[in-house]
Amino acid sequence: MLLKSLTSSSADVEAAAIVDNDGLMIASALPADVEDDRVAAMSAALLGMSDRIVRELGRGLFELVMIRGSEGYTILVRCGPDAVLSVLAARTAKLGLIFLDANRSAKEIARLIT
Amino acid sequence: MIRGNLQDVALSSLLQAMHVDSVSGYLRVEGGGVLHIVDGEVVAASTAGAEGYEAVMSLLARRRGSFTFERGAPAAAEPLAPIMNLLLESARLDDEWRRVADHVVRVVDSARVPSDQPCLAALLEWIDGRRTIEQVAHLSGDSTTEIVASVRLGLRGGVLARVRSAESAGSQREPEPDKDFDDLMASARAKIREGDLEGAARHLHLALARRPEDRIARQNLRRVASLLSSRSRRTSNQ
Repeated sequence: MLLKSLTSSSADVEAAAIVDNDGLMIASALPADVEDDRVAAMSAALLGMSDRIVRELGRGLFELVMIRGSEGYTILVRCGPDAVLSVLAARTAKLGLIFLDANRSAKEIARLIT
Repeated sequence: MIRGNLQDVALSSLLQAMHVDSVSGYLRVEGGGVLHIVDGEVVAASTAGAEGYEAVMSLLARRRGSFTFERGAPAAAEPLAPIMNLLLESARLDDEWRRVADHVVRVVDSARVPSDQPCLAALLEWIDGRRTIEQVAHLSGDSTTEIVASVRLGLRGGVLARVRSAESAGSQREPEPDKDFDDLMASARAKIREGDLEGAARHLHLALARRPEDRIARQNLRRVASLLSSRSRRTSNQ
């Protein structure tokens, strides 16, 4: 429900998924043409790398990472110790609003799954 | 263009209808399978791992996934077999699958796998003497036709042996069958965190038995299969 509401909050949010540290999907709102396995595997890989970078460089605990590609954004927001919220957004997305919605959703998800 | 889902319409029914109407075109099945149909007869077929007759049997064995049929003019050729023969053979294989799906087998001697049987060799990775053949099929991703043929070959060639039901029942006491879907998913995740991947796979199979089309459960099972495969590779490298 939370993911559906996140994806419907803006036409620029194309997909959202909650993935755990091991690369298992916990919930998703992905269009049919987006592969679950790919989203889960990439999210887990990005989470692992981000966690390590934050730790090695003494930046505290990992909270959020964003990757901008020519066709849009991939945003990962930590939700609790065991999972991340992965959001795919269009190139035209207004990032401020997306971050706001994603952070709000991540907090609620963290509350629900921990 | 016709679109649908194999859960609603079996491929065998579609082929019969196309045969009656003598239509020509391409019948595509989710996951890379395609049948070339000329005047209601199957003249060519392919899947990710097979061509021709084998591919038709593999596609007819599928019970899930979407399909599309697009009218067209595939290159004319001799039918792979009369349509009724294809359907009867598929029904026979389906019966055979139903008979063996809940059997449990174990590996007796992997060195006896014939070198020209890569499917059987690959299957050994998933056979642990506790999983049913249906569970092995889920994990390997091979078609039921290939699994039945490989298991039969393995039993005949002394590669595999049947595990008596009492033994396998003893090894699969958990989880309880009346657990509901969400409990099974949660317990599967807990088992993964504990490192019990086999236990997680069993729970996910039970969850899928309750909701066969659940996207999350299917992704989780594929992920567990991949983790099991990596672990097995690591073990064999050591």
